Amino acid sequence: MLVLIAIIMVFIPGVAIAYPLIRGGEFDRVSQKQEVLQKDLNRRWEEAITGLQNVELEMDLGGLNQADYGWLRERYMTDAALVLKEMNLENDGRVKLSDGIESDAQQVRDKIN
Amino acid sequence: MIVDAGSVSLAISLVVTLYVIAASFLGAILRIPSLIVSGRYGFYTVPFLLVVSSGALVYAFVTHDFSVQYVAENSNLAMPTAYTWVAMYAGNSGSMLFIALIFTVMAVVAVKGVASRLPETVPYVTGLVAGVLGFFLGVLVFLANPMSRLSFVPADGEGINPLLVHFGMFIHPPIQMAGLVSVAIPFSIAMGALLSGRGGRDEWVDVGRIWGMFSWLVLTGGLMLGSWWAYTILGWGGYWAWDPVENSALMPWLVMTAFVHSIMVQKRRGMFRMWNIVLVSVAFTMAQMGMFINRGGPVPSVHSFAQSAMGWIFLAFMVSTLLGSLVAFAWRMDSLKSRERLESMLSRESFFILQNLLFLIVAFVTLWGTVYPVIADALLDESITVGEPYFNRVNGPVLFVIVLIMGVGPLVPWRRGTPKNIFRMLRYPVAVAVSIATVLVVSGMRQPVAILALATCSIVITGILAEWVRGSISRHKKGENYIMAWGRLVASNRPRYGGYVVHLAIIMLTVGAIGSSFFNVQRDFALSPGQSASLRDYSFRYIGFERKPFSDREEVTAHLELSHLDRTVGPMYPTRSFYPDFRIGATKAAIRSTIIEDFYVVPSEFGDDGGAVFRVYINPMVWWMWAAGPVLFVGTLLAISPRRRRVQPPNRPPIQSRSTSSLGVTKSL
Repeated sequence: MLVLIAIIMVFIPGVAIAYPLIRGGEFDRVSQKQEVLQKDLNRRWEEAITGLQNVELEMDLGGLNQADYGWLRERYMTDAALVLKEMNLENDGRVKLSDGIESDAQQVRDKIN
Repeated sequence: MIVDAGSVSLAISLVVTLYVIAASFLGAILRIPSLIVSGRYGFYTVPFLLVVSSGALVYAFVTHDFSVQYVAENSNLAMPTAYTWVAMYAGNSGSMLFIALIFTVMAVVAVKGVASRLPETVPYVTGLVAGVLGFFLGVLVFLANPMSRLSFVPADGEGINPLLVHFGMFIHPPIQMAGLVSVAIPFSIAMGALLSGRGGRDEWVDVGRIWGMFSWLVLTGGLMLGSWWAYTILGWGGYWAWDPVENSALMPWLVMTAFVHSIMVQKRRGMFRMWNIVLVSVAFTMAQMGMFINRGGPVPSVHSFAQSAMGWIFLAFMVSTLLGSLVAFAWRMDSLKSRERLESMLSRESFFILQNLLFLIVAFVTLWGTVYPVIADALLDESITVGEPYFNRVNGPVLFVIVLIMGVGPLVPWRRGTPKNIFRMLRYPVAVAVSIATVLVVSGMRQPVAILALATCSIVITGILAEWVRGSISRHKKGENYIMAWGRLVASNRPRYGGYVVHLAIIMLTVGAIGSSFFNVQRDFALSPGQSASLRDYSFRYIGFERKPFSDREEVTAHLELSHLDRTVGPMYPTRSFYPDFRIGATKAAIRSTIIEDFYVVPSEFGDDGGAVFRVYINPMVWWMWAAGPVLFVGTLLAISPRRRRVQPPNRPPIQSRSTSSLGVTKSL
């Protein structure tokens, strides 16, 4: 009986461990890079939106002067715009970050400053 | 057979965990996704294996299987059945199995969360949490197996310390142990991000913050329940004694408090990246120090129920993880440069730094006071006790400044503030504080420190209320009624306003500590039956006592009739017990608690003539300390709760053709 219990207890983790190795191709085929990029873009989008919401809240509460409000708002809006542009590139199948994005970003930064 | 199955399960769990460590790190280094997933899936089965092991041990306790050495050492036939399963974590090896079980459950939840959000970091996180688990399982299998058998079967067990046979045993030790070990999770997330080369990206911050706050909440719960147990049950009139084991739980709590604050700066401003890695590493080291002291380290403590030689193994593990963290930090330090710089000393960021440093000062002062007796004994051959006066005198002023920063810091703007701006934000809180101090002085209070401390507490409360009022008015102007405006204000930034609720709970705790430290009264009374005595507004009459023998103890219960301002309150029954088998005496206080003060009485001794000696305390404001617990819990949950509605990025946005998004983002480009 003890042997049977031991076999069951070895079997359960054994199956869990072996399954991805047996179906290795399935897991290896997943485009990890694309997945990581997508999650990173989503996170940056979330951050930009949260940042914008926080700036508005802070301004409402009187914790920001007009200059800082403008600076922070532009910063988060630039971040959000860059994320949108990268998403657009990704959707078009052009995942790599082109020099164009950087120059666009630089132009926006120059405009802000 | 069930116990043997538990033993087999424990051994298998160790083997699986070792595989998880190897598969996760190798998979990450060699970039083999199937190996990484294999390790992760294997890790998901470890809780099942440990549930089997723990269940087997509980079964051995419930069936009084004294052939199991751990059961024979930690239970006996006289133990109430309800407490037999609690005995599982009353000793060293059983409590380690419990820690392993609870840690693996938390770690699996964390790894699942990290896997869905940080796919490049998750193999390192899995490997690290499995490494921590592997240490516990290795110790359990090779050095302290709770399932090991005796060569003979004793007729009865030795039992456990009778003070542990109490309802508090169901909640305080498990939560305290869970709190200490849970620090390993935010540590693993931060270290995992560092090792994967993504520590400089702030993607780990959200999940690290949530697990940091969870860990902080559990540690807080453990501390508060321990204080409550000491106060209400152990009958020495207080709730905190700066005992080494208490300190060992306080130190990681202090550092985690600093961490959950500074991680917000990284989230908001991309700053403090190195600092946060350092903080969480220090917190994990402190948590391990706590386990080292708990497991029979060299520091003397009243928590002597877990004495063993196991402490040195924990110390070795602590040193190795600390060195490993330092090496990883040095290796990846270049990737941890902050995105932005500190622009002004008058900014919220600088207040966060100051607050962080003060928390670390309190933690290291407490550490020094805790280990100094050992150092003095070893190096100077002197026997020294570091007691309450040292901790209160050194930590007291620093804690006062922390409370002040808790009031001022949230009102200071991010990036940079101007004196004019800060004055505008602080004028109402300071005016209220001055008014309160004046009222207290006029009403006869003469302790300047207490007056200053209470006035400082009011700055925190007024600051929070003022912000809620301003925010609600602002939303009200946009058409929401006041209640809805406040609710939506809080929901709009849960980390911030959840944190404010926690701050309110901390003020409740502080007020309780101030009241009971500065205004408590303690007096001893020797009374004969029928005799009365009075203390402040209370009078009480001693009726007599009753002696009752039980199988494991003799219990003596006194009967007192209490009156307050000449109005009868009711009977009080303080108790004193003696356990002859353990040669341990225990007292149980009788407490009449109100939101103003506690009337607290414990019997010191009973005479043959029916007389008795009582120690009576009046402890003001203690009720607020226990009431702070639920408030703190709600605030923390609010702070870590996910946002209900997320603003989704537009799908396949045609940037050039679109005139504007919902936020006007593209228009501005």
